[in-house]
Amino acid sequence: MFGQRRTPSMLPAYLILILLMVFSLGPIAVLMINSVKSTAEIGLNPLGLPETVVWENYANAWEEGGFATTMRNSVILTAGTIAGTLVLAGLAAYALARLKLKGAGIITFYFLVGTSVPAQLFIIPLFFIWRELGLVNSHLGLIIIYCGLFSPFATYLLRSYMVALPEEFIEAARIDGASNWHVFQHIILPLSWPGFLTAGLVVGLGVWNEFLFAITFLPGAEYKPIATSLFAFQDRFGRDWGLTNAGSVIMMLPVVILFLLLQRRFIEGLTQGGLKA
Amino acid sequence: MKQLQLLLLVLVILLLGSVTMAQDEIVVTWWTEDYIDIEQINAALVEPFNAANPGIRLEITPTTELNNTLRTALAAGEAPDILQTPGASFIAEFLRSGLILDLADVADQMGWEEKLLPWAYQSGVIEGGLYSIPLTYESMVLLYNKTVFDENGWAVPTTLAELEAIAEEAVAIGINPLTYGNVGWQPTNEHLVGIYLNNYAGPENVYQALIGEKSWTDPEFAGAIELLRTHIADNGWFGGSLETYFAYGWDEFWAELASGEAAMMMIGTWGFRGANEFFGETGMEWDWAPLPVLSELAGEYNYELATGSTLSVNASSDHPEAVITVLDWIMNNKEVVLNVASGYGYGEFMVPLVYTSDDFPADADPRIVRFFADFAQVTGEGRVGYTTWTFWPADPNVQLWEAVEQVWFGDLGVEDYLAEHQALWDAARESGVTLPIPAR
Amino acid sequence: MTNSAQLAHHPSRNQLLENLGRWAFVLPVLLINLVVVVIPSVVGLGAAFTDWTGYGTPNFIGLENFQRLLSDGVFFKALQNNLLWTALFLTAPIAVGLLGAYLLSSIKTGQMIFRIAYFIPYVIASVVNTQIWRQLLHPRVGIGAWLADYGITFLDFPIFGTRSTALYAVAFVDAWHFWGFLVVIYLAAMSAVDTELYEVARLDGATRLQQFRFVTLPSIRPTLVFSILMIIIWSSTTFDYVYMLTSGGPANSSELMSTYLYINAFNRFDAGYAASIGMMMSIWVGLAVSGFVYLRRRGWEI
Repeated sequence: MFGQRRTPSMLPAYLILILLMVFSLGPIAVLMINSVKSTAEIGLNPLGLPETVVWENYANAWEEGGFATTMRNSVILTAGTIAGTLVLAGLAAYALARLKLKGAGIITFYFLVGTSVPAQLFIIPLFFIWRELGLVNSHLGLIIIYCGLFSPFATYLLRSYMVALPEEFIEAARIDGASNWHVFQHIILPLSWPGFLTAGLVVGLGVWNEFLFAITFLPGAEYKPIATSLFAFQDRFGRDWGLTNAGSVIMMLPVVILFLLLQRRFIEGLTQGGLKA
Repeated sequence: MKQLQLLLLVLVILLLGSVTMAQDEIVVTWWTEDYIDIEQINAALVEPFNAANPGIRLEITPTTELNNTLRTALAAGEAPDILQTPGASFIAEFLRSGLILDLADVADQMGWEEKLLPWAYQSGVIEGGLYSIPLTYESMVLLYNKTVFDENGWAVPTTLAELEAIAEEAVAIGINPLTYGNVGWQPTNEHLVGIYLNNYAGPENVYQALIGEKSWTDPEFAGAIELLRTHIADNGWFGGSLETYFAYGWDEFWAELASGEAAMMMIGTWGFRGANEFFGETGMEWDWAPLPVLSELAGEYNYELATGSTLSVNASSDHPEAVITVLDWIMNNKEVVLNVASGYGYGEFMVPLVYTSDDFPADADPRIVRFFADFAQVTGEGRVGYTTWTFWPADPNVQLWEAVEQVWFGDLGVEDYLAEHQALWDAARESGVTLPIPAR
Repeated sequence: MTNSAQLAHHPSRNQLLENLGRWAFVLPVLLINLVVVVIPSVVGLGAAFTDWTGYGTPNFIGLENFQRLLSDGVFFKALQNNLLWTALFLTAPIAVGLLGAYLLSSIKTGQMIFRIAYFIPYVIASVVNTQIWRQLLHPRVGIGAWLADYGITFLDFPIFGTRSTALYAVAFVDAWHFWGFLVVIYLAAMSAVDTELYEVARLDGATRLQQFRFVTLPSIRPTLVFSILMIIIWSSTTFDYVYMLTSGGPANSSELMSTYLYINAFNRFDAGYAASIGMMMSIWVGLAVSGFVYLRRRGWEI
C-alpha cells in the first residue's frame, strides 16, 4: 500500500491534525454526553458521565421543540436561499472577477460596508417596506431578504475563487469569439464548483441558524424556523439543558449530513487534481 | 350544469355564513412570552373564558422575543389588543407614545380597585389614569438550604449581626454564605442593590427618595451600597469571590445552594420554582424567610413590591370593550388564575388579586402558600419595599445595575455612583417619565 | 463579424453596450441588496439624528447623540475592545486555519473525518456553544479545577468573571467556533491550486513549509484577502458570544460596540443613541476596509 511509503513524512501532519480534532470535538463530546442527562444533573455534574442515561431527551426535545414543523420550514428557507444566492452571487462574482467592470471598486466598498450595519437598526424600516409589499408571513418574502443579506458575502467568496482561476482557458475561449455569458457557463462555472459548494454550504448554514429575521418576518406559528425550537426549552430564568443539548444535536444533524454529501464530491475532485479534469 | 350551479350556491352560502359568523365573533389577541405552556393556559383560561363569553374569542399566542416583536409590530401598527410588557418602564414609554388606553373610568365602574391588592392597582395609575394591570407579582426573600442550617444548628437570620455571624461560621467550615450570579441576565445586579437599599436604608427612606423628597446621595443609601460592596467584594460572600459572581448563572448558583456548597440565597420569589427543581435532584431541604433587616433604619421586616409582566390595552384596538371584558373576567375569577399559576409554582400569572390561604388548592406547596399569606398581611400593614425594576425609570434603573459593577471592583466611588444616580433621577423627573409610587 | 471589426466601426457605442452587458451580471445583486439592506439601513441610521426611543415618533436633534458619544467612556472602552478583538481574530484563527487546511489538503486518508470534526463547532448554535464552554470553564467543577488537582493551577479561577481575562476568554470561545469556517474556505481555495506547481517545487527540493510559502499562499491570496476583510467586518458587529458569556462585563471589561448598542436600544429606550453607535460601527468598518484597500494599492503584499 503506498501509504506505508508515505507514513514517515506524514506522521507530524497527522499528529497536528489529530490534536486539532481533539480541540474541536472535545467540547462537542461534552455536548453529546450532556444531551442524555437530566437538566438538574447537568447543573450539578456538568462534565462527568451521566448517572442515568436519559434517552427520552431526544424524543421529548423533538416533540416540545416542534421539530417536525420547524425543520420543514428551515429546509424550505435554506434551499430557496442557497439557490437564489448562488445564482445572484455567481453572476456578480464573475463580473467582478473577470470582466473589467468600471466602478468595481465602489461596488466592493458598498457591499462590504453594507454588511456591517447591525440588524437591529434596519429591521424595523425593512419590516415596514415588506408589509407594504405584502411579503410578511411568506416563505418567499423571507428568502428574498436572506438573498439580500447573504449575497454580498457569497459574491465576494465566489469572486475570490474565480480570480484565482488560470487565464489560459478563458483567453483561449475569448480568442474563439466566446461571449461573456458563454465563458461564464462553460468555463468559469465548471472550474469554480468547489467555490460554489463552499458558498452554498456557508450560506445554507447561515440561514439554518438564523432566527431574528425569521421571527420578525414569519410571525405565524406554522412558519417557525428551526432555530426557534431551542427557545421552546427555556422559561423566564432557567433553561432545560438536557432538552436543549438534545435539540441542538437534532439541529446539527441535517447540516452535517448535507456537509457529508457535498464534501464527498469535493474530495473526489481534490484527488483528481482539480483543474485538469 | 345544474349540479355545478347547486354546488356554487352552497359554496357561496357557506362563504357568506362563515364571513358573518366571523363578524359576529370578536377576536381579542394577546401575545405572551414564549415560555408559557400554551396547552395549559388554553385549557385553564382561554376555553373557560370563551365558553362564558359567547361572541368574544380570546386568542393567546406565545411569541419568541416578545419585546422586540411587539416593538416592531407597534411601529407597523400591527400589535395585538392586549399588550404584555415586562414592566413599568415600558408602560411609561407606551403612555408617552400614546399607545395604550386609559382604563380609569372602566375600572371605577367595574370595581377593579377592590379586586386587586391596593398597591397593585396603584402601580398602574399615572396622573389619575389607569394604564396597566400586573400579570404577576413577586417579592424578594431569603432562600436557604434547611438541611445545612439544621446540620449546623443555625437559626434563620433576622438582623445584620445574625447574618454576619452565620456567614463567618459558614466560611470557617468551607461553605459559601451566599451564592448568586449575573451570567445570562446582567440586570441581576439590581436584585442585590435593591435588597440592600430597602433593608439597610429602610423602605421609608427609599420611598422619600423615589418621590423626590430625599437625595440618593444621602448617607443612608451610601451606607447600603457600601455594605453590599463589603459583602460581595471584600468578603467574597457571594459564591466565594466577586469574580465568581460574574461567572455564575442560574444553573450554577442553584447547583451550589442545592448541593450544600452554599447556605443562603437572596432572590425573588420566582426562585421557588428553581428551588423545587434543584433541591428535588439533590434531596436536600429548602425553605425561605423574609430578608434580614440590615440596620435599625429599616424597622421591622418588609416585602419589596415587584410586578412581573403587566397587561395594557392597545389604543388602536378596534374593540376595546371586548378587551376590557377579558381583563374584567380574569379579575373576577380567582380560581382560574390560581389554576393557571399553579402550573408555574405560582411564579407566573399570579395576578395580584386578594387571595387567602383557602384559595390555594390542597396540593400547593405549603411554603409558597405561607409566602402569599404573609405577604398579604405584611404589605396590608404598609410594610412594603420597592424593587428597582418596578419603580425606577429606565435610565437611572440601568445605571443602577450597570455602574454598580465598577463600584464593586473599586473603580468607582460610592458617592460618585450615587451622584450620577441622582442626576439621572432629576433628568427623568424633568422629562416626566417617572413611574407611579403607591403612597405609604 | 468579429468583435474587433465591430470595435473599429462603432467604438463608443460598442464599449457602452459591453459595459452594460457586464453590469447586467451585477445588477440583480445590487438591486436586492438596495431594497433589503441599503434603504432600510439609511432609514435606520437616520434615527441617530433623533431622540427616538423605539416607540412613538422621533424628534430631530441633530448631532447631539454624536456629541454625547464622543465623551462616553464606555463607548471608547467598547471601541477599544472591538479593535483588540479584530487583532486577535486576524492572527491566531487565520494562522491555525491555514495550518489545518494545508495539512488536510496534503493527506489522502481520513480527510472526511477531520473536515467534519473541524466544521461541527461552526454548525452549532451559539447558545449551545457558549453553554458548553461555560461548563468546561466552570470555576468549581471545570477544567481549571480538574487540572488544579494535578498541580496545574493557572486555569483555576473564574475565567469569564475576571476583568483581565473576560474578553480573551470570550474571543477564544468564538474563535473555537469560527475556525472551522476558515478551514473550509481555505481548503476549497487550496483544492484549486495546480498540482503541477507543487511537483515542480518538490523536484526543486522545496520543503513542505517552503511549498506552503511559495506555492500555496500566493495561489490562495484572493481567498485569504477575502477572509481578512470578512473578519474585519464581522468583528465589528459580533454580538452573540459576548452577550451570552459575559454581557459585556464584568464592569465593561468585555463590552463591545454591539452589546453597548443593545443596552441603549433595549434597556434604556434610547434607539437614537443606539443608532449613532451603529453608525460608528459602519464608519469603523469603512475606514478599516479603505485602509486595507489603500495599503494593497500601495503595494503592500497582504
